Amino acid sequence: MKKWRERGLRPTQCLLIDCVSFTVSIVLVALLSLLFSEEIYTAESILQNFVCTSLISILIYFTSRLPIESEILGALITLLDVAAVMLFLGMGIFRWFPWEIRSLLLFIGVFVTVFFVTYAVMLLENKISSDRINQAIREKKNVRAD
Amino acid sequence: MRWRIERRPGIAQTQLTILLPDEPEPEAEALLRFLKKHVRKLTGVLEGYTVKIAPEEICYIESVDDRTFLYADKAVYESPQRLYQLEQTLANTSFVRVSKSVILNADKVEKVRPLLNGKLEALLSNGERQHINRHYVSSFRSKFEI
Repeated sequence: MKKWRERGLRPTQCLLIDCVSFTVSIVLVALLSLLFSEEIYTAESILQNFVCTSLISILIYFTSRLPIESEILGALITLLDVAAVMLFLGMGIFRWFPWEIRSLLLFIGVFVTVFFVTYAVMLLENKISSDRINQAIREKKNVRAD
Repeated sequence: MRWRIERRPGIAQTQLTILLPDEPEPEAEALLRFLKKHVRKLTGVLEGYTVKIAPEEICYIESVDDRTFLYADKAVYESPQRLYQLEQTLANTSFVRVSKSVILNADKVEKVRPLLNGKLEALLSNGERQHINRHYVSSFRSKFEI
């Protein structure tokens, strides 16, 4: 079993998660605000949003070090990290939305969207890197064949 | 770069002397890398026998419980050297550290794929898969001149 420090995300990756998720959530809620003609954001709520995204990235930093081999289970745990912080802080302490089914569904919709956009950015960065490496491997094999 | 081959009957083994200027030509640098890779041999133990192994036969080197193992295509040797010593011996070759306990031979990588947690997974010529930790991805990429 590998040591816990070898697994999981690095601090810079968690910072990237924090930045992307904060940006996406701010933009998404701003769009909803325009859609429903309702001023959702104040300076206080923006800072609360930042606290939530930062806490999520810190939680992900630690849970990503759990000895879990399954990538899908790992992704589910990350999703639970987001859900736990958003429900506890966002709805429980900051009271962004009342505890109603409609608000809960809207809330879930926002954070799931933010989660997948953030994940997609990180996956894209990794995919580009692996494609370039595979291209270099193919070129090297072609040179050897010649 | 000028070169000369001199045959001397009676000498026990081939001797190679390379005279380098302050700034060697690219061809000379390439020749030195080739020699370091192919002339250097590593020592391994298999079933009680000590053998010499060419680095290009090794897919990866792993340290487990303070013991170091050399994984070739069809055999696994135990090395008397520690991982950090092998890393120094194999500096400036195709070998690159991909985690705290693994050094990978980039020439034995068939292809890579991205993982959901920001790592890469390399498929090696012996059919095994090794994870490349995010921290080591940039040095891994440099072996492919990316």
